[in-house]
Amino acid sequence: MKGKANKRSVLAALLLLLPLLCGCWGGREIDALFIVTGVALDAAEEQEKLKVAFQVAKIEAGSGDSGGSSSADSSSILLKTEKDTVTDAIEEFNRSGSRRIFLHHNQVILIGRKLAEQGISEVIDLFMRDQEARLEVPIVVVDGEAEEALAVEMPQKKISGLFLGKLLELQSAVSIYNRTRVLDFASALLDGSASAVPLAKVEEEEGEKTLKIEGMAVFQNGRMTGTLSSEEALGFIWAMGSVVNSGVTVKEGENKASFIIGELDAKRTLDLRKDGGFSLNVNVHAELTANELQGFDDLDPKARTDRLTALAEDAIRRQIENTFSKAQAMRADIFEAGAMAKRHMPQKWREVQSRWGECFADMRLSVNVRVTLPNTGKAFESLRTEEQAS
Amino acid sequence: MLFRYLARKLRYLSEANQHRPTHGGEEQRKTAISESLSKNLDEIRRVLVSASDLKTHYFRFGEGRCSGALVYFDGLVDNTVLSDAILRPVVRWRPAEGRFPLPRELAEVLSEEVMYSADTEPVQTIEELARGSLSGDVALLINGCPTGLIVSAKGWEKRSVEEPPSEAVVRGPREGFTENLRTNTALIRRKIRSGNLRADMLTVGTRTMTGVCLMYLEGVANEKVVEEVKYRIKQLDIDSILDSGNIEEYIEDAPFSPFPTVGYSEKPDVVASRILEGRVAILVDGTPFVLTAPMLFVESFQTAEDYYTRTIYASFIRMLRYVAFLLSVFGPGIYIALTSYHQELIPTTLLLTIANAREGTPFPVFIEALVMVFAYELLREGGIRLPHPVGQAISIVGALIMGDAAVSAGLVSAPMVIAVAITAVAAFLVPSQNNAGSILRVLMMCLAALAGFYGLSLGFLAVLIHLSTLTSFGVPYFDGFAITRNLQDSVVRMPLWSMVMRPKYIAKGDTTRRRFFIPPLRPHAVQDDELGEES
Repeated sequence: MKGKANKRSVLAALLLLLPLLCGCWGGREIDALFIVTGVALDAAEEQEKLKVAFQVAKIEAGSGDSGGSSSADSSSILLKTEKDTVTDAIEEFNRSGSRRIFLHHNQVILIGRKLAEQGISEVIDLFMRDQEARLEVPIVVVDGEAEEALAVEMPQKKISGLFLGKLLELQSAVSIYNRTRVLDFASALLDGSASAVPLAKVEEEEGEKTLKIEGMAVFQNGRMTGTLSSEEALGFIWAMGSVVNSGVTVKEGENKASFIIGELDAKRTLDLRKDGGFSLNVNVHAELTANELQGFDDLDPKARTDRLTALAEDAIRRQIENTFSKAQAMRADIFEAGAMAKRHMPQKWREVQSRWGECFADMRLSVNVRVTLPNTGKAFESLRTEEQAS
Repeated sequence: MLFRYLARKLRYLSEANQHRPTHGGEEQRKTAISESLSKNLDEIRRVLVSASDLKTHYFRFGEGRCSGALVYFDGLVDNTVLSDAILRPVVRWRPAEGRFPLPRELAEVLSEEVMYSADTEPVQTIEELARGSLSGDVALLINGCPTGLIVSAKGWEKRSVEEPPSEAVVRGPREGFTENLRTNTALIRRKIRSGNLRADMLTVGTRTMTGVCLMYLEGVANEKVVEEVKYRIKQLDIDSILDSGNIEEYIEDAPFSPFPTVGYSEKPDVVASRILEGRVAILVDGTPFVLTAPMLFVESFQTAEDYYTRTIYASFIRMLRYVAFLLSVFGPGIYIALTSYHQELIPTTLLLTIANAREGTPFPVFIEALVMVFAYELLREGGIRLPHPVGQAISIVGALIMGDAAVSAGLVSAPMVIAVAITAVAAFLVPSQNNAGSILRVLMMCLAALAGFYGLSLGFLAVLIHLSTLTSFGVPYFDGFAITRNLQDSVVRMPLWSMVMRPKYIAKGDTTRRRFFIPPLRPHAVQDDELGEES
């Protein structure tokens, strides 16, 4: 009897200890961390080497008296090294620094143009595998040296990593295709389709450096093959749909009109042509609001609305077509037509997979834009009648 | 579980103690009252050993034919009652001519015909007389009469009915219990004028002889619970009861649990509402705190005012109280877990702010939190015990030195001060679980420091399991959170008219509280179509 009770109590004790065994002993104090806010990767002079720079938020001691001044906008430290892999770089930083690299709060991965052209699929690997790195971190290609871009101190937000993160978040408010996360990049890589990544530039204005997003870099098989200008990038995101908070401006002689996109919905379908090629149909339905009208006052409201609608439809269509032909020239399937082919006609896909670039270049595009202007010009009308009365 | 194990050990101890002689109660001798007045007085003085506040007053009455004596304790009796209602009529009494009673009948005659008192009791023994005078009555002895009289003339100094400081309300009755048992029973009876409201008297404490009164509604309260309460109180073989807390400790279900299983209140309306729900109130002489049993966990989150304010606001405040309780238990724990294990969960800007504040502080987060919580408990305890003017000094020292100076000296970080301060404020929203909160808070902090959120969730589970195994007088402590029952008065407070039934586990017999009733919504004289025309 007694032995049994003893056994039972031992078992109970073991069971009680069990939850502790798998415990997270990885406790780490905040003051032992380098909180990384941005990563810059560049190609080194030396072959096969990487220039790695980590931007680390500078933590300032003595939060007490200074009170409010110790906000998150303190400046940052740039850790730089040249190594074979990013992991090596992290190891080195961990060894030589007083703190551990903490990647969870990384806001952005900047990639220098040179490295991008060499190919980044191996470099991105760490950010895919590592437990700490998040897959939602946006990737940005820098026209020039990524490190330089990371070192820029913005006037409002001194930590450029944070600034870029915020900026891209705002951009993605316009369209989710405006921001490419590690996850999107990797899935495009797996699909074999091309991906468009925002392209940043360091500009000097009155001696002060600033960062700007201008256009997009087009990647194919993990290698940067071309760029899209801002205009062309717009055509891309319109074709991809779900755009809000963007605008379109149309001109007709002297007359100008600016619209704000209330809602833009685009659907793409892929068809097989009779001659064996593909054709891509893009159906865009946009709800616009006229934000600014200059001219167009010689027409009665109904006709004016029709005119504006036609103009806007035309503008959007032309932009999409423009971007498409540019992409075709680069043979970069940024419109995810390959993914569609893979999903909807798997047999055909297997057939053409190896020469998808040519197929894409051969693809025909038909764009169908339907614009509605629910409330155009009403305010304008009333304004003019008041003018006449007085 | 662990508690049951402890209880078993204790039972063993109590059995070992069983053979000791019962502690010194007064020996139960009985001395009959003799016919000689002086002999009787000597006997009384023997029982009530040389008490300086014991007064003996001799007087002659019946036109000088008889003599008697009043024995009472100075300060316990009302002197006006004593002189006007007892002494004066007796001394001025003139029996009808030729019908002077025999000395042995005098006691009866005096109590029935002479004295202006509604509460007299003839007794035969000296000990009974002594007990009567001890409880504030006047003992009357007459020469030649073997019967003594105990005449009620209780009138000691007592506090009047005031607003209870521990349970203030904005809206609702403001009266509170006093230290006087009779006042308290009257306060409750004034709320519930039902013939079914029982008030059973018990006496507890061999030396203090404290009156304990059980009040409950017959036909509503569960008789089994009533029996259980009575049984537990009658079991007590102790010398003294000074506060209801003494009784609580003897009758509660889980003495080692951080959670109380006997409720208490200082407000007659709260106790009355609990009695109406079928609970038993235990009133103890000498304390304004009335115990109620059984207690449920939800009770801690219900306040009197919930039922006096409108339902939506009451529900909102009640949910706030739950959040506050969780915050007060888990707040510092969550902060520790976040800052030492799960930094990835903190938004980047906040993390940088915290990191800036933490920079240069000498201790790890856990130690810092322990110090702060410890300091807070120090301040709280100090503030409670000190007299009011000094108590303010404590709070100033606390606010200035603890809050400001410690942060600007870089000893603790500002976010930690904020975390502890929020915790402290949150704890005050649920006063009856304050003690449990303080203990669990430290436990959760240790778990968080050991294993982060994993530890916290283990701790949460353990507390939950413990809570659902607790019972109070046979009623599951967590009743009220079970999905199928009584949810109307747990997380939210439904409108009163929709709470038709009394709490199921507590009330037996008449379980229907009221008929379902929908408020009129419109003047009842106006017809539907008339209203339509109007609008």
